[in-house]
Amino acid sequence: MTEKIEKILMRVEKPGRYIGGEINSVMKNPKDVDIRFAFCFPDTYEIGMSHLGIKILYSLINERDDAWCERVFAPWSDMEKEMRENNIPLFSLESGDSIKDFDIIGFTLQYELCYTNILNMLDLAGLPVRSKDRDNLSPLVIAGGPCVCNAEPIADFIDVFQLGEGEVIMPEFLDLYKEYKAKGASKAEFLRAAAQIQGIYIPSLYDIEYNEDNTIKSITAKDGAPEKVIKAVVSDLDKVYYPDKFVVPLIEVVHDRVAHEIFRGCIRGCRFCQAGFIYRPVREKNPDTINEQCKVLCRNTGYDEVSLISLSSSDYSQIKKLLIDMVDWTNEDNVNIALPSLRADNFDAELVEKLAGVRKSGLTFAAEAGTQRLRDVINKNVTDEDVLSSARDAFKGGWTAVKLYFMLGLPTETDEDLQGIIDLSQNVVEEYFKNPDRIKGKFVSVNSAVSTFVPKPFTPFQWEPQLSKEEIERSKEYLINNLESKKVSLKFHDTETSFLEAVFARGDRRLADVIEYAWSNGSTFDSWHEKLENSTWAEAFDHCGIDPAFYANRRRNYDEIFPWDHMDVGIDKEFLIRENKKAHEGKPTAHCRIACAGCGANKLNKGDCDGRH
Amino acid sequence: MVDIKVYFNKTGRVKFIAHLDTYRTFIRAFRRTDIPVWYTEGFNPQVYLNFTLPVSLGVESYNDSFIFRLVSDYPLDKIPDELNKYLPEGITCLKAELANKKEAPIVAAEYEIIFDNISKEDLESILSRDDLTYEKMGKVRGRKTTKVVNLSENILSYDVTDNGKTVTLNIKMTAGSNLTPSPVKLCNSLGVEPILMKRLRIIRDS
Repeated sequence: MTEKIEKILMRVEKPGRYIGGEINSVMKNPKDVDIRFAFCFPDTYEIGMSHLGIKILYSLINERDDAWCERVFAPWSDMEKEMRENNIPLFSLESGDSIKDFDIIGFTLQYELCYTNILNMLDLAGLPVRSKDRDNLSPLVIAGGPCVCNAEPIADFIDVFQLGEGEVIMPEFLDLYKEYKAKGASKAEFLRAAAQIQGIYIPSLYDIEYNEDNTIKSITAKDGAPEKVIKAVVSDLDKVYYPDKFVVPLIEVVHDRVAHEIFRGCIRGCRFCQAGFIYRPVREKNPDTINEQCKVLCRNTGYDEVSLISLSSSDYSQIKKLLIDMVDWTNEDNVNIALPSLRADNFDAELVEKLAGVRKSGLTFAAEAGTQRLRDVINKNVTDEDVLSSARDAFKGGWTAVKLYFMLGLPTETDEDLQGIIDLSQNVVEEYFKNPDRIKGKFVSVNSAVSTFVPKPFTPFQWEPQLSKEEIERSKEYLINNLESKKVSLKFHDTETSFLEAVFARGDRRLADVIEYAWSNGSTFDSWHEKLENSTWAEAFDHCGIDPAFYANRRRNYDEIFPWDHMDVGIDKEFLIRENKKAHEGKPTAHCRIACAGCGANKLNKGDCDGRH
Repeated sequence: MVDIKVYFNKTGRVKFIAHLDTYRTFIRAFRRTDIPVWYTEGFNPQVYLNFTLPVSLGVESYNDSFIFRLVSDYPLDKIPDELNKYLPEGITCLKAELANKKEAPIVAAEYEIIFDNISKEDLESILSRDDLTYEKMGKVRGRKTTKVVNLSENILSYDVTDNGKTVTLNIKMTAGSNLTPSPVKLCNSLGVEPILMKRLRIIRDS
């Protein structure tokens, strides 16, 4: 670390974010490698280091002798200011070298509101933000992660997108890069060749034409790029690479524990949930593999907690066996098992508590909507009774705080559904007082977190409008005014944040100007409530002559061409149309284990899907 | 069960991690060693570690120490190496010994602070003032308060040397049950930005 950096670290908040040197971080000699890879997370160190994907890909790339992957996080505003004032370009944590001279700069796109941070990081590195202004093969700016399923708003900034799972795409991509770098190929030559790899999307190889009403007229692939970019998936989670060690942060991060994925995809098909569709097909990992890998990871990190993660942990078909096997060594080693994402309808509190020694923190149940009618519309097959009986069990087990998740602004929502949010929350309070064994003198608290529905691509609700900002505010007021119980506290998501998210989630390439304008006028860290500058964004839309409501609040027709129609995540549009129609009829769809609904994702895995077994 | 005192240095970039993070780093290192360390009892057992005197963020620490408990025999001379295997660069255990349960209380600490932007004379003239103050944030019955602390009263002795391009301040300040002013606060009061701060040793009542 240079003296210059050391000096400014005394002036910034949490300097431990910028020092590197963590246990298990990988050091190599730059002279020994062909590819220097800067893995950039467009948010703070604490957020980025909590992310499992970066850990997997970091290790996967560093397993190669010909490549060195280093980590870079978005400096917080105080650090950014110091860096700019002292002419310190964006540097990696491992070598401390400026990433401008790296071969590949890779971003992970976990949420839409990170886009201004990407521009800011490129600029801090001393690079032009637009892809067309970067002529050379290196540094190549690439991006992966869930937002790639519609990354059109940032298509002008990124050279290469990876659609799908990095374990599959990255090795082939790096091999090709190495080959083209060695023969001194141009950026254009490489991009044309890379477009042939499954899952690689080169935005500059697609021409977009618009209709007069601003909808898309056509998307045309050129220079041999595929008409549809097909998502790449791992076919066998037991055989795919998984790290045996994680970098252990020196400062506390959000998820400071061993994280282990137990399966990918989801059998549920809740109609609002993008993750539930884009990670399909369902693929389970063998409990023996998970158990063994968790044990090794705990021993190589010193962590005292393992989190078994997935989109819906209680849907893992061998959850009982896994927990029984793990407890064999976790108790002895003083390791806790955390099991997030449990469903209210198959939550077995006793099993979990007895086996895993779960800490008594809060319990969260995602009811999502207040009435059965609306839960049928969104296909969240949980009943009031499921929520109430889970709460009953929790209170019996000694919990006194329960958290409920709801959304407002779901398609077909009426005031009756809003009232349902209040009623269900208050009924959970009632359950507490019905418990004869409750501890006297202790108070129950029910925290109902109400977020705003954001329609996302590749969900049955991709055609739906988001509620206007005025209507969202009215709904919030309705909830506040009609709440009677003092034991219930309501928490809301920021309306502006949800609105921007809705704009970018279904946005097209014309939003690039808006993003660049907002960034150059000071917007960064937009997902941080205290940093989001509403007036800058309003000005940016205005300046670019773009009506954000066109993206957020407009109902689409089934035959409209979407900005993401050239992406194939495996989910058939016909299936999504069927689901959308059923939603409006108020009809739920059974989950995948009961009956396959024919979403189409199994075609990505030679017809295999663990959701059906 | 015996109490063991381990001496360590914390130097280089790890000086930028706070005390609580240092503590967690040691706990994770212990969990990876074969040292039979005692865990606290209760619902959520933790490695028991008791640090002598936490050092401020940004300050290197020499001959720092903590106490842990052994539940069965383990060669003392193996402890530093075993721990060092699992500690990050910059944190190095030096030796382990049986803890002395009747240690005298901590009364002071000695620091070395290096500047490159002030002359020996100027620094000495600021230090000779008797009104070096800073505002200390505190809480009185849950209410936030600020209190003006006069640092001059906590400076026990000092010495300034001129090294040509830099100036070194060796300073002894009160510590332990008295106020323990951090060298960071001292530099704030002096109004000079240091290039390096080290805590050299902890001094006990003799």
